[in-house]
Order: sequence, then C-alpha cells, then structure tokens
Amino acid sequence: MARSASIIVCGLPESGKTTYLAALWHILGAPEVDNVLTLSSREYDDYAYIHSIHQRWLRGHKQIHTQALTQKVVGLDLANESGNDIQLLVPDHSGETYQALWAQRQCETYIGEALKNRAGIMVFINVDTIEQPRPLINDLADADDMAGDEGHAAEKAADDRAAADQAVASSAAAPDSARQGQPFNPAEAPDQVKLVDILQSLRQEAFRSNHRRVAIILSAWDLLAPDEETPEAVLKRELPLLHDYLETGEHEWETKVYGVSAQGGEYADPEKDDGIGEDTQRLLEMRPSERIMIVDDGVESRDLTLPIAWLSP
Amino acid sequence: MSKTSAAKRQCSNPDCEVATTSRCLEGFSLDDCPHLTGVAAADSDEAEDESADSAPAAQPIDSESDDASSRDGGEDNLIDIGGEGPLDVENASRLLRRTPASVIAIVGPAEAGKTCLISCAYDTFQYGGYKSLRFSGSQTLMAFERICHSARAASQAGVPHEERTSSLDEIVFYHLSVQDREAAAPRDFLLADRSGELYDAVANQPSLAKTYVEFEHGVVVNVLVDGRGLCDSGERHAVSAQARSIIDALAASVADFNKLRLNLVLTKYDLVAASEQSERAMEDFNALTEEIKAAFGGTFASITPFVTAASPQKKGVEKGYGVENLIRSWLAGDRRCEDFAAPPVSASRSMGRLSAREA
Repeated sequence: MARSASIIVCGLPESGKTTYLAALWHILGAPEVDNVLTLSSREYDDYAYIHSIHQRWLRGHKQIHTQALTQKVVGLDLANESGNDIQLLVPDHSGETYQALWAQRQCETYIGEALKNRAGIMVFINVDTIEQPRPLINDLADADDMAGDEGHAAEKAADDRAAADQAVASSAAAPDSARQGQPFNPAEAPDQVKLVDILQSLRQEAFRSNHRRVAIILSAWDLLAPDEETPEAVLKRELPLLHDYLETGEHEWETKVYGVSAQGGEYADPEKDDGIGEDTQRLLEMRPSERIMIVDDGVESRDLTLPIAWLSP
Repeated sequence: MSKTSAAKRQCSNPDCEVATTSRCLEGFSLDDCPHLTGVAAADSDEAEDESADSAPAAQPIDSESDDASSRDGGEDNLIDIGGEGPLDVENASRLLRRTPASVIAIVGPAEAGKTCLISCAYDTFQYGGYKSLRFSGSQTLMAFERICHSARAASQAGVPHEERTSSLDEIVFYHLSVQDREAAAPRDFLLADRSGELYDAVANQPSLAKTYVEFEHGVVVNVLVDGRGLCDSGERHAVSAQARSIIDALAASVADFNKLRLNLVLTKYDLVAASEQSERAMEDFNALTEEIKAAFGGTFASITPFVTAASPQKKGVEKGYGVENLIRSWLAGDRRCEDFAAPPVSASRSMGRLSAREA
C-alpha cells in the first residue's frame, strides 16, 4: 500500500494555487513532459474537482474563486524515480483561509488538523500583485514636487524652511485634524507580513509538524520574465522581509524557491462575457503543456512535480 | 521512550500502531520517523509552555484540553492563534522564558516620537532598508502593522504621525528578532512602549523608576529629545530640561545602573534640518549631550548621541534616517532578560547563564 502524505498548498487569495493544481494534473497526463513524479495508479477515487479545474484550464478560463467554506482535496497516486509509491493529498484551501489566519487570528479546526498532518508546504505568491506599503511621506513629497517651480529654487527653499517651522507649530497646535484618516485594516497589511506570520503560526503547537520543508512558489513568473534573475533573487528584491525571515532565525524551516508559470498568459473570464482576448487565443493555439514553465535552481522545465518531489517524505 | 510518552504520538500511516506499541511500523526510531505527528509527554511540558508562549497576547492553546479549539462564547470549531496586539508584562515574561531577549527602553515625554521610532525600526525591514541588518521574526507583527498604519499612504492621513500610547496601557512590548549580517545568530529584542505621561511622572517622582520593568531589566535606555521642540524658541529649554530630569531620575534610583547604557536620541531630524533654527537646535542637542556626559559619565556604562528621523514630515531626509545606527547600538553587548519575575541578573552572571543554556 502506498504511503499517504499531505502537501499543504498555502497562499493568499489570487496567488495561483488552483491554477497550479490544474496545470499539474495536465502535465501528469502529458507524455511529452518528463516528470520526476508520475501517476502510478488511480487508487484515490475522487477526481471530480481536479477534472473540473483542469477543464477550465484547458479552455483558457480563469479559475473560479475557491470558496472559503468548501474543502476540496486533490488526491494523486504518484511514484518517484525509485519506484516508491506515495499518495499525495493536496487540500485546496481558499486564500481566505490564510487571510483569516492573519486577520482574525483563527482558523477552522479541520484546517488546523490538515496543517498539523502535513508532509510539506507550498506557499504561493503572485509576483504580479506584490505591493509594498507606500509611505505617506512619498505622497506628500510628490504633492510638493507638483506644486514646485524649478525657476524659483531659492525662493522655494526659503518657503520650505518657513513651512517646516509652520509644520512644527501646526502639528503641535492641531494634532487631531492632521491625524484624521482611515482606521487600520489588517487585510491591507503587506502580503509578505501575512506570509511571515502564517509561517510563524505554523510553529505553534496546534499546527506543528515534524516536517520542516517549505517550497516558495512565485507564480505568474512569466509576467516577470526576468532573464537573469533567479527566483531567490526576485524573492529577496520584492519580499525582503519574507526573504530575511526564511534565511535567518532559528525557525528551522528548510526552503526552496521556484518560479512557476502555470498559465503562460492571460486567461479569459467567462463570467464577464468579454470573449477570448488575444493573449488567451495565443495560448489556445499552442500545445497546452507549452503554457507551463517552472524554474528550479536556474533550470527551466515544465515539470511541475519538482516542488512536490522535493517536499515529499 | 515511555509508553506514556508514545501514547501522545500519532502516525499518518493508518496501519502503524505506535500510539499503543511504541514501535514504528516501518522500523524508524521515534525521533526519525517522518510520519509521526503530535509530541511525546516528555516533550509536551515544554511544548505546552511553548504553545502558551507562542501566542503571547491571547489565551494559550492547550492541546491536552477538549476546549483547545474553543473560543470564548462557546464556538468549538475554531482555533485561536492569538497575537493580536503587543505584549503586556505577563505575556512578555512568557516569551522571555522561552526566548531570552534584550529589553530596550524607549523613553521620553508625550509626542517625542517613541512609538514612531518603534514602528520605523520594524517597518524599514519591509523595504530591505537596512544595509547591515536582517529581519528574523516577530511575535507582534499585527501590533507593529497597527502602529505603522498612520505613517502609510493607506491611512489617508494628512501628515505622518504616531498613534499616542494611552497611559491606561501601562507598558507594552513589541518583539523584534534581528540579525546582524555578520553574525551567526539573530538577537531578540523587546521594545518597551509606555505613554509619555508616565515618563513625566518619573521625572517628577524618581523613585517610580524602580517600579518600571524596562529600567529594572533593560540593557539600553534611549532617551528621546524632541527635535521639533528644539526648533521652537519657546520650547527648546524645556525640552532639554525634560530629558535631563528623566536621566537624573534614572541615575538616582535604578539599581545596577552602571550596566545600563544610555542613548540620547534626537528625533524628527527632518524638521530640524529644514528649520531656520537648525544650527541652534543642533547646538542645543550637542550641549545637552556634553552636559549629560559630564554629569553621568561614570554612572552609565556608556552615553551615546544619535540623530534620527523615523517618520519624516518633510522631504529631504530619508525615512528611517539614523535608525540603523541606533539598532546596531542595541546589538552591542549581549545581556538578555530571561524572566521579568526573576531579579535582574548582573552582566557577568547573565553571560554565564546564557553560556550554560547554549551548551
């Protein structure tokens, strides 16, 4: 009987988790792709979900947003190059699950059990949607630049000094009016902060596992298409807080970073009835497996099983 | 391993009966089997402490209890992970028992920029803004994000500002783990944040300093000097006098203060640099520094000035100016607190304990 192991696919909303699973299913059945892991049997007896997301992927349709209250599990009977069988269970949790772990500081018990019984974690990050929080001073500086006049630099410098002194007085005199703004909303915290917090939380007793490996998946890699940069370099540049946390500390996570493009371009949203765009048309005209790319240790391939092989016990 | 210990372990292989037999079906030792989950009873005491410690600002998770997943209010299908806010003294102590940390006191009157400095120390990591420092973790991420909010564009505030620490909060701590790029291991810090009114109270009643845990267990006291005030002709002398009063109180009343390092931190340097009184303000700050060194040079382990702009309101000075140097000063020396409930340990005894722990 094959050993059973559970890989957690984790990430915030719209981070590419479901698209990856759909593309993974495709390459497992694509004879033109050499995979480290191959399908060995159909012992897992429920493919309705994986078939449905695969069909959308083939049609070039965006995946339906995974609903928070549904628990979908992708089951894969795989064998590695040594012929060892493993049944992988991949719960496809919604991104809101992890959003709630951060924002509400809680999660459903069944999610907790899945996290605790994990053999490994894949953390998905959509590199196309990463935004650093913008300091307020940048907006104020931009406003100053727009109001300035290059031909009156000296006069402006004098005005700046006077304005600074006025700011000194006014910030003390009218603090309340200067402080009005929007209240703090945890959901708007930077993604890298949420991801560090999630990884830290996974070390709590309720979620602790003997398995320490974390595969960081930078999805939508094709949109970055950096010719020279490795996924590790992109992680360091775009998500320095997360990069530092993974590199340092006594958390004992063992990590590997992959760049993954599971779509190859823009997919259509059939719910909006906008038709098939040019990019989607381009993708539909190629062999589906050619939409896929993964970068691992500087090597490009289509083998989406590589992170799973690395994570699997 | 005892059966009591093994009884708490479970295996993801349904055929394995390690829970009752203490033997791994596949022949692994119980320490090596990758399919085991849960912890042994021999580990669980430490694990229970850690489960309490790792959610320091909320109800600890007790994996032994049927109510482990319960929230207040009776819902039993949710797991709370805690960590909503900064640490109070009790939860900070829990963290210290698990992870000894250096306590950093950040002291000054209201509006001097204490919370701003704390938020900036953390926030700069998000941009990779430190040349020599790396972020290694924090048990108070949500709390940090909350205090950073008012200096971000998302707040839609008129000017960057700090949220005032309420005096009702007594003292709170922000946990930050930082690694020097040249060092082998990270260092943990607890940054103490107390309302300015309570530090004014110390200036008025020096004996109060003995009751402030950040002085009793701290390794560095950062006394903030408000740059905004030094630029104001009507305020400049009062600002210097306030700083002097607080330092006087510390010198007079805190035990073992000769192992306490003192940093004099000028804040809001952006306003100073842009002010017509810039030169005078810097002269005032330098004069205050010399005065403190002359009066207390033999009292504190060191007295060092720093110039900072944690959250500039005017362009021309970069956000976080001077903060990296300040954090590096916190990294100097290696004394750490292991429990607020324990008496403060002298420098030599503290190093001895850490060596034993690391052995």
